[in-house]
Amino acid sequence: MAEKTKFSLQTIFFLALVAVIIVLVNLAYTNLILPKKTFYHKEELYQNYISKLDRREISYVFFGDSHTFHDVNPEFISDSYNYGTGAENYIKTYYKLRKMIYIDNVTVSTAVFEIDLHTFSTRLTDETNLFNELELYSKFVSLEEIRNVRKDSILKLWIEANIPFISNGKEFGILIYKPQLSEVNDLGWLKNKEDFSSSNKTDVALSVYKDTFEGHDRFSEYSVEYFKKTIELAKTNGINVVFIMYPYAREYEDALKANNNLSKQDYYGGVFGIVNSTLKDYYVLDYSQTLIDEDYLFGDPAHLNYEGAETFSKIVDGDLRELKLNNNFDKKSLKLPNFANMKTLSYFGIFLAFLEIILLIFMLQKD
Amino acid sequence: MILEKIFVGSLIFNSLPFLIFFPIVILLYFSISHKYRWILLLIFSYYFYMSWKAEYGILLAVSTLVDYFAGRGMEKFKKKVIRKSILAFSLTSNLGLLFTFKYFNFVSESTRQVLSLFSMSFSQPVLNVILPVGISFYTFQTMSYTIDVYREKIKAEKHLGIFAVYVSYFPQLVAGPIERASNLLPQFRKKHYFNNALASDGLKLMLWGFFKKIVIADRLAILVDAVYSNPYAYDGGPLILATFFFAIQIYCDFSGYSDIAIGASQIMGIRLMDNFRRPYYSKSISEFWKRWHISLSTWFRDYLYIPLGGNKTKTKTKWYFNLFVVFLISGLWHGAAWTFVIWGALHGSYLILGIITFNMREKFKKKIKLFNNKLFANSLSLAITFLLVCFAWIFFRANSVSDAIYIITHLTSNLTNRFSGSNLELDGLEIVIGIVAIMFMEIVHLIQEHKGMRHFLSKRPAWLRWIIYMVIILFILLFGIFTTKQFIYFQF
Repeated sequence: MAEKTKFSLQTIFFLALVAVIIVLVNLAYTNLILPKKTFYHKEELYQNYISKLDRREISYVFFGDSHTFHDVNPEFISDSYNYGTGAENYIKTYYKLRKMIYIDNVTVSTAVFEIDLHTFSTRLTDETNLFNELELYSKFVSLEEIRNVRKDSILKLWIEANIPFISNGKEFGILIYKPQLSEVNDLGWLKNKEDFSSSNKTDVALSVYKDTFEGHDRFSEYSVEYFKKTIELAKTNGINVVFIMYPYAREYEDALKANNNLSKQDYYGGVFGIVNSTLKDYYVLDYSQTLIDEDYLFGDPAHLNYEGAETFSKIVDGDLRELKLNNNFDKKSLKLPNFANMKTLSYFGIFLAFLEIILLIFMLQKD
Repeated sequence: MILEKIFVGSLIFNSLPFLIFFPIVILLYFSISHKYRWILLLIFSYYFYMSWKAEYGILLAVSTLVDYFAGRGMEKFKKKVIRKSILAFSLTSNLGLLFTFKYFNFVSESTRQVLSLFSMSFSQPVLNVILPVGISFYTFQTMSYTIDVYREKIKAEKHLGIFAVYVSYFPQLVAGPIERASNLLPQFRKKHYFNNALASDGLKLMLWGFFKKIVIADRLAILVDAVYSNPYAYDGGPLILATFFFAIQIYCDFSGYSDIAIGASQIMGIRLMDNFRRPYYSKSISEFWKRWHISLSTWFRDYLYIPLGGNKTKTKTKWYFNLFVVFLISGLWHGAAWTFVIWGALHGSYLILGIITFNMREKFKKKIKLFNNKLFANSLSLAITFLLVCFAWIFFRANSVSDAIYIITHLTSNLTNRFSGSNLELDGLEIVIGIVAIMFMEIVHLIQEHKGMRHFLSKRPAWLRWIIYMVIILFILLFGIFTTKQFIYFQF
């Protein structure tokens, strides 16, 4: 009896101490590290931006991955915002658009969606990219919804979302190595200072091609499913839809032609097959060849540098104006759906804690 | 339904479901009368095993029933012929299971390859079955029971339930230690009272196992997997680093599992045998095998090497033959592939060469003064042994013999290039974290090797001990790789 009691008390005390340390380290991480991570910092910038809007209305919002993030500088596109982030797939895009409409109550007139050659690739839905950054996404996507994609247990997802320091200890290094956060501007554009023209262009293009395409299917099941959901969501909310293809350099095209097993024509046949099954009215802006021989405007063969972003954004601005799209600012968004469903987990947690306490008491009373 | 949402996947030690279920099992274990504990252990052990694949439970049950009745039969019938027939039936059943699930496709494919050398075509049959987790471990454990009953070293277990727990006991079911009935069976009958010191030592051992697995093994695995999955893309530097890392990874993975298993069992008052004793501190290959996977090497010693004649043979050649055969089979035990066979053959050859050259080496050492310095002599022996073991690990880890040969022949290629342009999948900081963790482990190893950790800790004040445990927990949480990567030895 005495032995068990002593052990139980020691264990409880020790676990309580561990819990306190976990809470403290987590607090340090969420306050010191998380705001310095690009995806989180960008969301803060976005919240700051929309909080300053007189009316929560934006004419053009750009969604997509690093290509959107680097190439679109909204300073040169009137009333626009760049909401793209690195390695973003359509699962994330869908939930970001949903949040924008239903939670942030922002009325978007036109959504510009990226449909580059790699956009639907399984590279963006592999183990590391599928639905990560839960410390942010769990704020507006329920764990049940995340589980539909991730197939992990709710408990694991909950821990990943709420105790993000776990397994991320090396990120405390950010405190020593100062991150270049200032490179993301208030309108969500990421400045790229690299110069592709001074590199070994053919080798770099081949290496980027390999990293992007080799060993990956061109169409990820998840990306296609959420792409459909995204354009349906835009349609339901009366948002104009523009699809955009970002510029790339000549060497990148050569690498694509030499190695790719799916022609550009067949690939876009597949993409627009999906689009046409959902949407009647949409616009396509194809800039893939626009700056193909202007290598000095690229940071790497598929991303523009800051000069390229300026040139390109001015072109996009002119083209968007020419489309003469109507705004939908007078339309109201639909009712906010119930995203959060934490009840299951909470009840189970309480049940487990209760069971362990009962057993502990029972164990202590024995012998 | 709720359970399905909360817990997904199998009950691997390094998974969340296990961390929740294990305390419940412990609390239930000490809450119920010892008479019924075997029922709890049996239910949980089967649940543990069937969480991988429910059908696996049938295999476990078949193995249990065959050996239970074989044991009872051998005790009932005294005639040697009948006892031998029963033993043969039991061994055939166990090895038959093992052959069907593990070796059938290997034998079939090897036959095709051999016949194709003589231009003979053979459309080999292929069995599409998934290798049941840990089948080599529990079949070896049950075989040792039957052989011991046959040899009348132990009495047959009369209680089917307790025998079933012996076969399926969850801490050591899927990756050992391969226990002997004489050690484990009586412990299931014994009354176990809660023991503070045992439980606390058990928890510490589990924590240490988690550290080795989650912080070191799974981190190094990222680099090792990247390099070994496509060795042709790498120069000598990454190939050497990956091989060295694999040596550490496999040790931390397997000994980490053993630590968790031994610790978990110890909390319940049941002692399992030691499986590792800092094997990379060995000064010879024979010493390595006294420190590495002890439960398997002693199994082979008792049930194969000694029955073959061991070292008590008329000729030295027969002794060498016995050694070689044991290691060849040991290689095959690890996996149905030629790479494992070569790995076993290499270790067998190391041992034989060690015996043959022993006198010559001793004479050489006497001639060279430097060998009088014990530190130098020991360090050199330790380094040579480690390098020989690492060389053999190349075959163990490579996906094919041709991959292994490529790696060996390119270990020194472009060494001046270092790691430029290589995608190691593990950045510099991650490698530094891995190395710091390895260094910490080595400090602990040195303490264990000299005074023992228990002695070291007992000399420190409680607050310092608690700080040490907290730091380890925090280190695991901060730098652990939590992808629930399976333990390497599950595949065997």
